[in-house]
Amino acid sequence: MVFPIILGVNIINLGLVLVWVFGSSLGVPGALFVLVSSGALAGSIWELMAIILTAIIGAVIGDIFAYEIARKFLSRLLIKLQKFKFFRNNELRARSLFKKYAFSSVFFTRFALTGLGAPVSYISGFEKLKRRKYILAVICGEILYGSIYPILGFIFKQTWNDISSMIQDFFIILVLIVIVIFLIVNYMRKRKNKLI
Amino acid sequence: MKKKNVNDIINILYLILIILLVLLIIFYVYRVHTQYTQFKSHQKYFRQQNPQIESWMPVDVVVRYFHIPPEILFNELRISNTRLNQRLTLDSICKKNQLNCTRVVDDLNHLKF
Repeated sequence: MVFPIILGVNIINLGLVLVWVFGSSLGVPGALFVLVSSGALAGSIWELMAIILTAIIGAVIGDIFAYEIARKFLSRLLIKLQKFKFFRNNELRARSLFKKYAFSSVFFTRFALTGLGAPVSYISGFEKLKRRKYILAVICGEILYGSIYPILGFIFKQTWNDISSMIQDFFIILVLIVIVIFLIVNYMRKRKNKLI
Repeated sequence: MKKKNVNDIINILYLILIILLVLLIIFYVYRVHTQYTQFKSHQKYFRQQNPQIESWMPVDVVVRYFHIPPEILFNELRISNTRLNQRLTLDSICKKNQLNCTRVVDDLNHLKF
């Protein structure tokens, strides 16, 4: 069976990227693997460009979809959760913390900590984060997500399989280091205040 | 007195959390180091004069690099020609289909063009 070709890419290949990236925005795992391998399968720059464009479009649409679902339907859940004391006690603090770091958390989870991308999208909708702010962070983050991974696959054609797992772990290390530094600074500050 | 005790417990928990996170970082650094070493050795493998097909190679690499017709390869591996199967390694396919990987790799090496 012959499928139509766009910019030298089989439309089925583009469809796989689109569906998988869209699904990953809703929480389906494995999109990074598909992106890196699609980049490796690309035979020309045009093919790579088509994959990048498809990935960005699929990811942005998926993120907006996840946000809208949470905004529309999960808000009803909030009323039920507020019946619990532990939720009421921590809700305000968690909300103010999320609003403070909303842009950066949405932005970084698009391309760096991709496993947290879907939960952050749902929380953004749940917390009714401003649409413009959310979409801006999503577009910026997804441009990086949609480009970095296929390009890496394209560069390391024969060894793309090793690359995909290595990148994920690398970002996890970076985030863990930031958390540890934050905790140590916080701890030192508390100790200092106590001594004074 | 009671408040001081609570503060001490919080401090200990804080330190335990930091130590656990540091251990987690060490674990991930070790994993990335192992992956990097493997990545480098695989890259070096392709730079040699006459590389052979190996079990760690993904199907698409075998098709493109060793010019084995996909139909023959998929037939040999007893899998269907799908976009997802093209991305799997020979190793994982052999395990999934309970094939003798050494024999499959040998056969493929005889088939390559």
